[in-house]
Amino acid sequence: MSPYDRRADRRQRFAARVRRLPGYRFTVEELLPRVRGSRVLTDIVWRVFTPPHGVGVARRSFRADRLQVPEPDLLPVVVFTVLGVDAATLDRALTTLVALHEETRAFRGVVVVDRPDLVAVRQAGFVADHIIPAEDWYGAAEDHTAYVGRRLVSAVQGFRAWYVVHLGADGTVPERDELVIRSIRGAMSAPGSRTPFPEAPA
Amino acid sequence: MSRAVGGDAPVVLLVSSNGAGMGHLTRLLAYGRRLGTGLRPHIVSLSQAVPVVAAYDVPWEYLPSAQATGMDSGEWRWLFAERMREAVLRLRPAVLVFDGTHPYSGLDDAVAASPGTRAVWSRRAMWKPRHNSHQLSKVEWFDAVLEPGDLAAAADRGATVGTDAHRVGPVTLLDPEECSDRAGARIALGLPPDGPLALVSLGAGNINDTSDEVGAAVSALGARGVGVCVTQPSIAEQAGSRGDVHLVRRFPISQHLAAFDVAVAAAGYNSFHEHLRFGLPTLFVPNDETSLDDQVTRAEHAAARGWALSVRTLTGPAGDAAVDALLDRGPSLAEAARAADPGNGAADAAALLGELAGVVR
Repeated sequence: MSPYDRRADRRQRFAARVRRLPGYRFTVEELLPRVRGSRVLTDIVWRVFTPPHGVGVARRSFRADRLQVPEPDLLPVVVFTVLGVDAATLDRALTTLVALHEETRAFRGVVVVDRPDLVAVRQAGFVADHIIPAEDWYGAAEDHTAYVGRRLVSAVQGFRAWYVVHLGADGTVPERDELVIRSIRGAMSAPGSRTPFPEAPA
Repeated sequence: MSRAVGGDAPVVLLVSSNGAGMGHLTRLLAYGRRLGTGLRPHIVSLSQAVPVVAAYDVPWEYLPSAQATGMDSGEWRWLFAERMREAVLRLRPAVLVFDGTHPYSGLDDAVAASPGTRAVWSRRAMWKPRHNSHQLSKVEWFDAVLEPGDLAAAADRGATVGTDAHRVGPVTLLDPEECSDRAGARIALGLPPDGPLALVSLGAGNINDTSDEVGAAVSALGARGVGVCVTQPSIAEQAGSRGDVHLVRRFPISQHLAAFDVAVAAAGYNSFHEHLRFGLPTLFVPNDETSLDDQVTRAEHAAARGWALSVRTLTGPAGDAAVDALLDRGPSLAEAARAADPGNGAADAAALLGELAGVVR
């Protein structure tokens, strides 16, 4: 069974109809890039609307099924890379991340691995992403390095990550990155935010 | 182990959509392992079960699905398109095969980025009537449509009936001669060597609740002295210390179907064809909650042809009668199904892919 979602399918068909409207191409290819690229218009928008800015102000759907917090849609996405480690180290890393997750309840996580333990990542409550490991790469080593770079950029862009943490070879979270993670909630409660933010964890 | 790049043989990129089970992935693996030495299969899958293909030495990559990420599908499409384009430009496949009933936007752009790549839509039939027909226009994205056959094709009333497609026989990962015998299968699955055992494969359920399909199946089989094997750990956990419920976790389970005397199963494409082709006496309980797959028609056709039994629900008296019939008549029905087996279509499918890749076998 394909993941066929009737409501999403209706939205897709609506979008397809919109894409066929006269002027669609001009709007997308000419008008919108000009608007987006205009420093003057951008400045005016900031002055007039003062859009809420920072962590915890924009809603988006992303997996957060272990988090028992109000407004999980406002939590930022954080990408954790756990690469080049053995199974035991990945297991330790996931235990660490689960503890950090449950303690802070301040992010939604993606864990990028180069091992086949996708289900373990999911069971820990995170979205799993995968990079082909160097030892399974048959091409030139520099091609693999370039691939890893592309894939990490893709993870940041594709998941619209707010922050990236590269775990150490021993599966630990670097101290300063942990500090950032632990400071997310404080940033979400910053004065001036007009969007309700999740309450601090009990 | 995933071997992404390397070797001189042209790549056949096998792209599986996500799904409730492993049907798409298993079907692509059935093609991939029969491509021969002149072609190199490489799987990109939206299924988290994809690492299992390493057992067949097929390189793999994982692409998180919209469901796995929780992203709205409109936003997820960007990720899918970007990852597919990257994979196609990196691998430059001679052929790209997408297995699914709903080709995702972005696949077309990815294929277009590699002009030498021939695109194939592997599209199972038996769609529920009047469902998904608008997807058929996406045939324009592909150079060919490959339809794995369905033993219930004569009853098919879905939108794919009568459309242009290369149709092959029903596709299963394994051929009968690759399967274990009863004793070997029970050893492989860690099951007791003696005594009747049933495979119960009905998706998630509550083993302790007879108003639930799984619970009703376990209760009816247990009352008749038949041990139960389930494939989902969550179900096995409910059994606690009961000795008559066993968890079987092995891929592919079809290799060891001989371990079971009978089966009570949903009528998804893979289970349906594996059970019938390999002669496992089966009571099908079709899942009518699927969005597209017409399991009810498939199961009822098998029953009408005298290959298996079918019942809409096991809860209530009809369920007990159906289990009695399974234990009584199941073996002779399974024998009839095996006699009607047209063979595995996977080799013909692989031959078609080889032809499209320009490799003469």
